[in-house]
Amino acid sequence: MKKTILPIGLAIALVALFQSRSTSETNLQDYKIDGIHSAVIFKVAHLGVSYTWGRFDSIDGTLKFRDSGEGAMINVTVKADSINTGDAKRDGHLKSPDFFSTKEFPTISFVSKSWKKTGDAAYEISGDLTLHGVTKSVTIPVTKVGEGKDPWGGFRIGFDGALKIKRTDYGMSKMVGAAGDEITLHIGIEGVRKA
Amino acid sequence: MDLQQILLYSAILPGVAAGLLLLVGGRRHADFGIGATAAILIPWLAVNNWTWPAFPPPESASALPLAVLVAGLVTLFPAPAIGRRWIRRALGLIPALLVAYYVMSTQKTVSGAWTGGLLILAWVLSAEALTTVRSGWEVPASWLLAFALAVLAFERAGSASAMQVCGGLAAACGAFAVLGGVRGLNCSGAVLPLGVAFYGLLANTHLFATDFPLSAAVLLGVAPLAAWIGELPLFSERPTWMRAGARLLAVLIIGGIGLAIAAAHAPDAEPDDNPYGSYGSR
Repeated sequence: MKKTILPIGLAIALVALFQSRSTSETNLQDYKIDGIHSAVIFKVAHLGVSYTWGRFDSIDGTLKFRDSGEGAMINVTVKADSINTGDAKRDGHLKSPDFFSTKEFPTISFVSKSWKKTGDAAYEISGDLTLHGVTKSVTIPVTKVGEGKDPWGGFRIGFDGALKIKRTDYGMSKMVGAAGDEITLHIGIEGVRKA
Repeated sequence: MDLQQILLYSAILPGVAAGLLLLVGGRRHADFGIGATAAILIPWLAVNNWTWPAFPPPESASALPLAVLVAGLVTLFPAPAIGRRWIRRALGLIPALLVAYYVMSTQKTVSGAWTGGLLILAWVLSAEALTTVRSGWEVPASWLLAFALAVLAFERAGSASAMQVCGGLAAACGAFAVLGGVRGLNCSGAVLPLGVAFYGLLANTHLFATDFPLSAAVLLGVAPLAAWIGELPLFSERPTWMRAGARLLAVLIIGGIGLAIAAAHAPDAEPDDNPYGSYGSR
């Protein structure tokens, strides 16, 4: 009995592995962004002597992807008032009209327009970044970190990227001396394939 | 900005600009208006990296300098002597309509737009009437106190830019109290830009800052009008110091309650274990 079950199990596993790899390589797959395992982290110069780091705790969105990048699409929405720099008073100030004005502009979003494969697992995603009510085209170089089955029967994929923006380009022009103009964003996205 | 820069751009320069414009001007109605406009725009530009906002304004706060500029230009209007005041009041409708448009665009409610426009109009008419009845230093000194209380309230609400711009309003009133008082002038020309800026700061902070309750905004907004108390029969014929004292006390009580409410709703205090504060200095 054991002798028959083992080869059958192996065959099933190989077929499943083959299917999962072939579909991600050829077919567009839909993913839902897993906000808990995704991150949008930023750093901004403080008084020109160091960086202040922060993150957004609420991330949502969808992803369509295949390895060639053709037809791929990502749509990320971040709740602006989920900003977290580890200091409640500073976070309150960052949410105020002095900076993000989160009541007036509650979301930050990125909608891709095109994906360009630039390497084995490297892509350039061009799209529209809307921040503080201002939409501008940006290009984000990303790397596919990996993909594969999770322990709960799902299938996951992950990307990592970074870009620099100037906050004054997005109308956030207050107190540029104390908090720098250039913002470095580090983005980590994990998607769970939709059933 | 450090404290020295804040004092320079939000108190010293606005006060000096308002005072100089009053000194070099011909004691005209417009001198107060242009002086007040300059005193408001200097701190606004300073906190916005010396950048004039795009048009249409990309955010609500960027509408403020445009509305103030229009209000300042209205005070320049060379109306004929007969009916001049009423023509200016009619022109004062322009900033009121701008405020209404602003409320409409941000809140999407017609009732809010009507309320906003009528409130600013009522404020301006009441304040202008007060300055017409009583010239000299008493009224601007009362307003200096009212705006100073609002500066503290904006600071507690975590809105540093509103705090600094409101500092310009207070500084302008300081200059008007000193120079206008010495020359016995009435500062009615300053009412429109001051009113538009003050209303805009209160409304914007209430609508978009983290915690700035409506009750605080209303009390702080009404505080400058509390200076009317000096015109009550009980005080109007009394010595100047007593009349001025009554005005300052009334402003202090009403504005002080507004400040206390704003402080009670202020965002969380800094953590005790951070000796350097949120921004590197206490």
